[in-house]
Amino acid sequence: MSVVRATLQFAVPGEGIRVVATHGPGGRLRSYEGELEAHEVEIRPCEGATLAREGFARVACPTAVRDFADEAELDAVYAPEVKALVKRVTGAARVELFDRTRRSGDDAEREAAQLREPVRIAHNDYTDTSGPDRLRHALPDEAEALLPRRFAIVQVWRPTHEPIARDPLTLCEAGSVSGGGMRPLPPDRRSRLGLPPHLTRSRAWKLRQYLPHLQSAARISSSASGATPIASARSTSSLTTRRSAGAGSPSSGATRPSCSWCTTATRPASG
Amino acid sequence: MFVVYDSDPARVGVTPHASFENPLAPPDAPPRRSLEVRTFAFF
Repeated sequence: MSVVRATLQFAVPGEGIRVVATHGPGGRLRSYEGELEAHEVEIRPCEGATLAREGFARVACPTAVRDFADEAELDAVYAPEVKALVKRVTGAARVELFDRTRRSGDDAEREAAQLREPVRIAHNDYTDTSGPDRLRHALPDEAEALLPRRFAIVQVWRPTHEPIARDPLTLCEAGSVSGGGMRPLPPDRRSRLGLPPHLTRSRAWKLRQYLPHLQSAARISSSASGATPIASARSTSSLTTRRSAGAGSPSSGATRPSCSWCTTATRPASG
Repeated sequence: MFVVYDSDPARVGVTPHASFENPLAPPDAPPRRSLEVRTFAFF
């Protein structure tokens, strides 16, 4: 099977204020205020996508990291690997890391390790305002000199335990939301997120993380169809991601974590 | 790897994303665990 039909939460086009608030220790808990709509979309494999065209790409990302829960190892080993990777793929003259987030879909692990949860609402990490603001905050001494030149914010996402079947990440092709597809957040809010409404054109969702049964599927044309609203889950107060007392599980696997899309020899790096 | 901002409006700077409840996931599938790193890329 090469297509997954799944339901995503979208900001509602039109009037209204949407807020993504972070709170709790480390800002790891989020609540959403405003109107959301659930839409079913078709999600297809992302082979062949490029940063310049779709906005995302599967890239080979071999790592020497043995324990992704070890913050010191992430600093010493993973950080320079990511810096070199982004430099190579984007062609940037300089790359600086400024944020790192581990997420877990397991409630008990999240509580124990103070991790964040997978985000269910369709979003972009930054807006035209919050992107430059983040640079000013992260590199205050250099920001004014750097801002006149082109810069991008690039996220490197990977599973730390595989395979991922629950709560996989999906991305929307950048071109399908161009032309004012993003709804900016109110300027008085500190949140950095931008929320895309469900546009008729924003149907081309691609699966960033592979599922085992999709592994051999070829990339399909981006001319997706059939995104039909199937539900409306609106809330003018808040919509907080479900939290329940799930069964606990070990925080670290017995096997060395690896990256699925690096170990597939038939898939060269793209970018 | 994906782009979430670009100061050049002519280039891709928006890649909406989300996790979703996978209807095909086995009921006993382990929870997702992931790591994301955000970077500034200067050109």
